[in-house]
Order: sequence, then structure tokens, then C-alpha cells
Amino acid sequence: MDDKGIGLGTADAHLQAGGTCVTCGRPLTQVGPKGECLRCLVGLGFLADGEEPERPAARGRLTPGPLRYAHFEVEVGADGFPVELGAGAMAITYRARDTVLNSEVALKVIDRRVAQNPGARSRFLREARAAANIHHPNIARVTYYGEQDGECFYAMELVKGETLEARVRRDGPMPLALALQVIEQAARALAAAEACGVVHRDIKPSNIMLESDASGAQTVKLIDYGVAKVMGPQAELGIEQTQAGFIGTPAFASPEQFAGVAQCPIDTRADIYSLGVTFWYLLTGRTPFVGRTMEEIRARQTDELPLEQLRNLHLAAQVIGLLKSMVAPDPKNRPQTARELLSAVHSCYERFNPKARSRRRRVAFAAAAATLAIAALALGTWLYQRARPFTPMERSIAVLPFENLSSDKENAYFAEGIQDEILTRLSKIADLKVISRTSTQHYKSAPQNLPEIAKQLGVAHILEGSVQKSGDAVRVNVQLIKAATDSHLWSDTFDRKLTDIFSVESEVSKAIADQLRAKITGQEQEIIAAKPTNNPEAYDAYLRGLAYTLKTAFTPANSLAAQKYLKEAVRLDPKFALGWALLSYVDASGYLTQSLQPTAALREEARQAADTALTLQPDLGEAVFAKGFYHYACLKDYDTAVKYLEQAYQLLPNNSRIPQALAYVERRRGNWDKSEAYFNEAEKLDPRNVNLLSQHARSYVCLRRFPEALVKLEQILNITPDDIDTLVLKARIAQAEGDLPRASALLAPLRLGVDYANALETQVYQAILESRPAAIIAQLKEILAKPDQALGYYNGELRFWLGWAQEVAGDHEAARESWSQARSELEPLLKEQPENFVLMGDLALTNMWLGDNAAALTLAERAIALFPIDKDALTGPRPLDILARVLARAGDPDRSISALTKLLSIPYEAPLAANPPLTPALLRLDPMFEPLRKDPRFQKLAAVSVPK
Amino acid sequence: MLRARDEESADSAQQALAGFCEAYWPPLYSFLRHRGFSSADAQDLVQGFFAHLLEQNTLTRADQQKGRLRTFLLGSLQNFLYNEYDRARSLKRGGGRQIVSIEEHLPEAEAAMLATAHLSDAACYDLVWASTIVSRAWQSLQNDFVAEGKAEWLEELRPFVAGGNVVPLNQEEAARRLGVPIATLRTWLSRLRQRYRESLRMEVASTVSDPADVDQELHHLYQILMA
Repeated sequence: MDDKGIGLGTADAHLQAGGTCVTCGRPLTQVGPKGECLRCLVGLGFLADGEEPERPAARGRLTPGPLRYAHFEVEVGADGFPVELGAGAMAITYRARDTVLNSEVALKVIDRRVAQNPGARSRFLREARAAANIHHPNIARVTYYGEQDGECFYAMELVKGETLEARVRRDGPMPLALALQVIEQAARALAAAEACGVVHRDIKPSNIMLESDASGAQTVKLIDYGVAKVMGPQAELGIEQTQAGFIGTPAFASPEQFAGVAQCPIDTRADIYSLGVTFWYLLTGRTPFVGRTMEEIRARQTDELPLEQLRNLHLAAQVIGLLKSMVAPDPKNRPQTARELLSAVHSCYERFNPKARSRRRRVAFAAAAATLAIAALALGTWLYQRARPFTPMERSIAVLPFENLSSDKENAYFAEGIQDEILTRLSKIADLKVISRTSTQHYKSAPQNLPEIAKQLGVAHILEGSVQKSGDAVRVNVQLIKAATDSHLWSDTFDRKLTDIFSVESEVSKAIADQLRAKITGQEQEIIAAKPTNNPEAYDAYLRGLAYTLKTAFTPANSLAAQKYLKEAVRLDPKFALGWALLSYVDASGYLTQSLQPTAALREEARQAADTALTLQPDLGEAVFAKGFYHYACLKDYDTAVKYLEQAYQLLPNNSRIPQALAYVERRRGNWDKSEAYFNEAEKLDPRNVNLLSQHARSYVCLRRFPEALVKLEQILNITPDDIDTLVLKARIAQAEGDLPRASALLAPLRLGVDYANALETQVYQAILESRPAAIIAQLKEILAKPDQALGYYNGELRFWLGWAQEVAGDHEAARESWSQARSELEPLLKEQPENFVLMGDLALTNMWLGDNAAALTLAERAIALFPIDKDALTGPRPLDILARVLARAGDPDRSISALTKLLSIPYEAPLAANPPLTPALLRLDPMFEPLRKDPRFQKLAAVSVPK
Repeated sequence: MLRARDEESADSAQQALAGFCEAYWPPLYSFLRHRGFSSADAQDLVQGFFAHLLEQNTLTRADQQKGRLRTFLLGSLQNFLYNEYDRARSLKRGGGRQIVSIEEHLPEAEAAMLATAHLSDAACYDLVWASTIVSRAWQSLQNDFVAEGKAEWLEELRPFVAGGNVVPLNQEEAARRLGVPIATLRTWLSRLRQRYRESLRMEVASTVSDPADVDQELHHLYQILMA
């Protein structure tokens, strides 16, 4: 009955679509150039040699020639035969065209023999009139009745869909919730008919259709109202003569219909009975009472119900109760009216989902059948999915960048924003694993190698989408793809006004959660459905700001633009908590990374924005996160930061920024194990975030867990091959392990300028460790010949390194000159930046080389006092490292060795050519420790293999 | 994906390309129409897309990647829309490079477009794709039979194998008409089904780079068509 034909091949091919295939019996909707049934053909691909496809009994009911009834013209297929929608023993239904209104109808033509029964025609007319008066969205309307040449015919609304019978045959039994919804809609139809005094008398799966509209929503439609009664008891009992001469089973008829009108008047309760058998059929794929003859069926109707058929369905007692009451042999024991039935269906339905109560009421009064159908199917799917839980891996998803289909490229921010908002909403569902944006943003919108990408991201599903914005109209298209098979699980297009864009974001998130069978708590449901602002302009400004925060790097330009738009957003809607929260995060990140001027005013703005967000919406995860991040980034108040961040993590379980921030904070607090656990969690959510991976590697380096660090670094190189910083870090690890040739091999190909500060220093350090400084001296001299003033103290630092290299080369005079110059450059800078401990370290070592041990010790000790290790486990030990070096050369081996012993026992980030902390190998190789070489205590330290 | 090898002449590579474009024009066109492009724009875009594939030599690259042509083409088209949209749009119809004769395919593709209005863009693409593959496999088999001089023979057997809405004669009648015993007819039908199965597998195989994927892709086509 599905008349959505698809034609390919010759131009007339699609005309042949419609009807059913004579070979496989399926609707002929996919046909080849000569009308081949493509379903038959594709099915052949699965037959074993010699196997034959199944064939239904031949039908052969076609009557040749053009048919016209009044102004209805029966459609004719390419073969000249009328297009049949369905055929029974008493009537044939054709697809026809109303030539006056130029619309399609279903035309039911009653068999001449039936129509010629005495009084039949007046009964037909009477029933048709009654049926035509039922106006209900769940009933296919009768629009015309006519007689012609001794035949009677009805024109009915053409339902473009499939019958429940076809559906069950195709997909097997229905999930309970969906069946309940079908029954509910059918009960509504019965109620409407009841109000008009009409009984259907032939309710059965083949008379109930499911119609899909363009959006994919399905509506139940009862067809053939008013037909059964006039066609007489035979039709009423569903008796149909098949080709083979068997009598079909009147399995859906009520006992009173068997008994005849004389004994018991037929009313809605008969339809309720038939609907009950239909319900049974939907759930089990069979009917409860089977018999070869009418008498057998009739006899069984009073038997016990075969409840064992339902056993595997694990139905609630209430549902079984409903089924039993509907098919009760005595009409008195059934629901007495359709309304009563409806409320019984509802009470079953509500057992599954308390939320259904409010939804159902709303719909009941609105009588919006289509809306109900959507809700019904969504709920149906939901319940069905509950029965077959997905594994955690299957509940994982990555959202790829959305394509901006707007003609205005300037609208790219909008597509990015919508993608991120959907991702964010999904990430609030604890039962889902959602990959962070940082890991997906480098992929294209619709890449070809989805399975590979899914593998890289460790997810089973991918969401692709596109956004088209034109004025205030927005079209969002999303496609949920199962990566393993590259097949579409679900897709939808939403056309909305800008003001209604949140509903798309929450509907998409909800649908995906349903598809992936994720549990959603009531609170999560509210969060997903939340509307962050009622002001579309404020939201637009927010999306623009958001897009800038999503760029790869926090450059000053990105931070400024994000700040500008977010300020605009909260100006337009001062109650926009999400806007305030993001503003605070942008300010605090800008403060930390110095992409915004790190002024007290900026810090204050970050604080105020976070507080405003929290005041407006105390349970907003983003607001709690902003507050915690502010304490970390602006105040270095790690304890308070952790408190807020942990709270935010509960609210935003999939937001990788939170475990990432927690990993950093815990690392600073010296909780290395906790930090590592947070790194691991963050990486599960954000597996391709290079920054995150390199920070994790940095931790391993500090912990001297070099093999693990190298694994992380390889991961980074797989994502960004030839990444200089990563290659340099590998070289540093080689140095720390005492493997100078490996370090050299890694560093030699790199041609680095002053732009790669740490990388250049690593090369200098390598030259010093290898005692081969000539080349690097030349390079440093070249760089320092034209110092870049923008580099600040870094020029002085390079002069310190130059001096050291010259010292190693044996050119003491040149070395002293370089150090003197370094000191004169660095000293004034320290006055400007009295808390810059890098500068202090540089100056201390420079003074040490120049022989001013007192000044060197003072600086080192001041740095130690300013940056206690217990305040910052990561960089806090740097001044102690400096002190150990100064003491070694200042003739205080006892204190130096005691400092080195301590340093070797803790993880930290080294001050020189920052990263690997001191290792026994470095003690052996680094010439700065020359004065200690003969000390047995030092030899012992230097001999130990890499300590933990 | 193109099976034109290096040693083959440019001409046959060109022919292979033309055949390729012809085959995959309908799903791409339907997808674009579904996306809301006008018929004229969609035609231009598909032509532009093919020209782009040709220029970029993308198909050779596609062959080297593990993957399915179906998803590869859809992905490439979407990227093309994203990256080349303005350029593609500026291609005038009939201008640029005419790779597929549109007139031949337009009516069916349009009919298919309307008939799949209830599906999503991607589902429409998949359905038209699946139909194209299955039809092409039958067409290719038919061409073989024509070449073997068995066109009429195939015409007799077609309804038994390929279905449709023409009620076939029963097998006895068909055997009588062909002048063979019923057992022979049944053997013929069995062989015909077997040959079609091979043809279908070959057609599917030409769209996946890893032969191991054929079964999975075939299964996928089955699911698309049966949905």
C-alpha cells in the first residue's frame, strides 16, 4: 500500500511502481528499468546455489481495461492494469484520481454480487453517510459514495502508509509501548465513531494503517469505516475466499458477531474486542484464538486465553489485565465505551513513564494526533531500547563539525555554535560518552573515512550535521551514524525560527540519547531542555563569542573578540547565566595565558562574571566550572578551585575541560596520582587534544616515567607529525636517560630559530653535554647580533647559555663577557618583575659563573622562599635545583648534595631547558656538577639508575 | 575505484569515467535535490562535482584508501559543497565540462526525488544508491545475455527471477513455450539466479576497495531496500 515508488532506468519505470510484486509479494516501490522488483533482486544476493526464493500464492485478480467510476479514474499501471491497493473477496480497493479535485483517493468497489443483494444499496448509502460524518485524524474519511452499472463504490482518503498487518509481517511483533500507542490512537478513533453512532465491525490489523508524514511521524488511520456492516455477516466475520479455496480465519471478530444480531446487539464493545485481538497480534505476531473453521474459533473464544504466548514479553500485570478485559467473551466484561478503553490504555502507558502523564494530557486536549504519534514513537523506541541495553562503548558518540550551508559564510560561527551547543547538551548526560570538541574540530564536516575516525576517537557513533541560516530562519540537519557499518541510525531536519533554536538543540540531544539507549535522569532532562536565554540577540552574540573560544589557540585576537561578544550577550540579557559563565572563563583563561592583559581589572571581571552566573543559576555546571577555573587561573587558590571543579564535574560529566583543569590543579598540589587519573579521564573524552596529551606527557617526564611519556609523545606525533615541541621533548628525555646519540639524532634535523625558545635551549644544552659547542656558539652569536627586544629577558637568558657554551669550549674570556652582558640585561628586568622566578634563576646562575656566589645564593634562596614546593609541586622545586647548582660551584658540597638528594626523590619540572628533572645520568653528564664528581656521596647519587 | 589501469589508453580511462559518472549521478543528484537545491543547481553541482573529482584525481586516491565508494562519494560531495560551493555555483549549466548527459537521467531522478520526500537526505541518497547498484547489476547481466544472443530467452525468464507486476506464466507454460522440459527450465532459473548473484557481487565489489567488505556492503544494500 506504500505508494512511494522510486523509479530508475527508463523514464516510464516509475509509473510501474505501486501494487505488489508478483514474485515476493512486497510492495513494488523499488523497481528497475523494466519494472524488475529490486527487492527480489537484492534478495538473490543472499540465496545459496540452487535455493529458490519464497513465493506467495499467485493472486491474478486483475481485471484488464480502464476503469472509471463517476468522476474517479482508476490509475492504470504501465501494463494497462488498474493499480490495486488491496483486494478481498467482497471488494477491491484501487488507487484512483478524483478528476474534479485532481487529488488521489482510495476507491473501494464492492463486488457486484454483494451489491445486488436485496436492500443492499440503501444500506450502503446509509452507512456511507454515517461514516462520512466522522471527522477524526485517526480515521480515513469517506468522501464519496456512488453506484454505477450495478456496482457500489466508496471514495476514501488515500492513506499513504502500510497496514499494521504488513508492518508486523515485515518487522515482527511490536514493542509494547508502540503497540500501546497504536491502540490508544485507534481507541480515539473508536471514541469519535461512537459519538456518531457508528460501529466499524471489522477492526483488524489489515484495516488499520500507519501513515508517515514528511517528518517521519506516524499516525494511525482506521480505514473502511461503514463498509463492513453493509457488506453483510460474511465480510463482517472476516471470511475471505483465497485462491486455494480455504476459508480464512475470522480471528478478529467478537463472539457476539458470530452469534448474530438477534441474540446480542452489536456496539462499540465489539470493536473493542477486535481491537483487543489486534493488540494481541501486535505484541505476539499471532492471534489468541486459532481454528480451521469459524466454529472452532468461536468455541475457543470462551476458553482460557493462551497467556503463555505473552510470557516472554514480561508484560506488566496491568497490560495483561487490559488485554484480558478487551477480549472478554462477554461484552459486559469489556471496557464499556471507547472512552473507558482510552483511560485504561493511558493508565498502562503511564506506568512506563511518569512524564507521559503531563504529555498525554496536553495532547489529549489538543487532539493533535501527529504530535501524539511523535511522542508515541519516541516513547515506544525508548521503552524498546530499555529492554536491550547498549554497552557503554555503544553509548559513545563524537559530534563532527557542522557544515555551514548558509550562503553567507559569515554565518560559520552559527554552525559552530549549534554544534557545540548540541555537544554540550549531550555531554550533560552522564550515561553517554561524548568526545570533546577539541578532538573533533580538525575533522571535516562530512569525512569519508568515518569508521577510521570513530576508531581514532574511540566511539561507536558519529553525529554529522549541517546548519543553514537565513535571516531568522534556521535549518538544522543532523545524521547519526553507526560507525562500524557506516549506516545511518537516525537523521532529521529541523526548520525553526531563530527564537526556537534551543528546541532543536534539546530535541536532537534527546533523540540521540534515545537512539543510543542512554539513561537520562529527570534532572538531566531538565538541563537538556533548558533555554539559556529568551533573548535571541543575546544568544546570537553568545554564539559568536562561543565560536571564538572554540578556536585552536587563545590568541589575543580570539580572546578579545570572544570577550567583546560575551559582554554584549550579557548586556542584552543580564540574566543570561551561561553567557556570564563563559565570559568568566574567557577572562580567566586570558589572564592565565596572558592573551588578555593580565590586569587586576580583568581578574575582577572574571570573578564578577562567575559570581553573577552562580547567583543567577546556582546549579549551572558552567557557572560552577567558571568559579573553580577563576580560583585556579587567577588566584592559584588550588583548594577552592578543586572544590568547585569537582562539583562542576558532577554536573558536566562529559566536559573534558573539567578533568583537564583538575589534572593541572592536582599536579600543582603534588597529587600526581590523582592528577594522572584526571588526565586519563580527560583523554577518554578528548583523545586527540594535543595540548592535553602533551601536558600528560609532561607529567610523566616530571615523574621520570620516561617510557610512558614516550608513548604519549608518539600519540601526539600520530596526530601532528613533525611537531617540533614534541620532538624536542623526546630529545630531552634521551638526554635525561643519558642517551646523547639518540638526543642528537632527534635534534640534528631541526633547524630552529629563536621562535622555539625551549627547543633552542635544548640544542645548546645538548652541545654542552656533548662538549661540542662550536656550532651552537656560532648560531647563538648570530641570533644575539640582532636581538629581538620583544623577547624581553629571553635575550639575557640566551647570553647566559652562550657564556656557558663558550666556557665549555674553553674560551673563558668570551664566556665572562657574555655573562657580564647577561647580568646587565637581566638585572633591570628583575626590578620590573620581582616575582619572575625564571629570571631569578637565570641571574643566580649568571652570578655564580661570574664568581659572585653571595649574590647567586641570595637570589636562589629568595626564590625558594617565594615559591615553596608545597605551594606548587610542578615548578616549585626549580629554585632548589638552581640552589644545588650554585652550592656545587660555591664550594658547599654538603648542602648541594643534600639538595640533590631531595631533588632526585621528587618529581618536578626542571629550570634549565625546562622539563626533565635531574636524573643520575644528567648528574654524570652536566658539567655544572664538575666540582662534586669526586665526592663519593655524589657518585652514589649519579650511579643510581633512574629513581622514581 | 576506477578500474582503468596505467597501461590503458587515456580513452578507455575516459570511458570508464563516463560510465562511473553515469552510474552514480542519480544518488548524488537526488541527495542535492533533497538538500533543497533547485533542479538546475543540483545538475550544475553534480557536473561540477564530477569535474572536481576528475581534476583532483580524487578517485585514484579513493581507491587507495580503505573505504566504500558510497560513503566516500557522499562525503566528498558534502566537502565539495562546503569548500567549492561558490565556484561550483558559478559553473554555468552546459558550461564547464559536460560529463554525463543529463537528459537521459533527469526524469527518473526527479521521480525518485519526489518519491523519497519522506526520507532524510542521506537515507534518500542511500536508497537511490542501493537501487542504482541493484539495477546496474541486472542491466549488466542483461547486456551479457544480449551479447550471447539470449535476449529473448532472458525476457521469458525475467519475471521468475526479477519479479515485478507482470504475472508470470506458470513454469510449465514457460517451459512449453521455450520447448524444454520443466526440469531444464528450473535448472536455467537456478543458473540465472546464480549469475545475477555474481553480477550483483561484482557490482558491489567495484564500490568497495577491500574485497572483504563486499558481504557487509551487500547486506547494507539489502537493509536499505527492505526498509
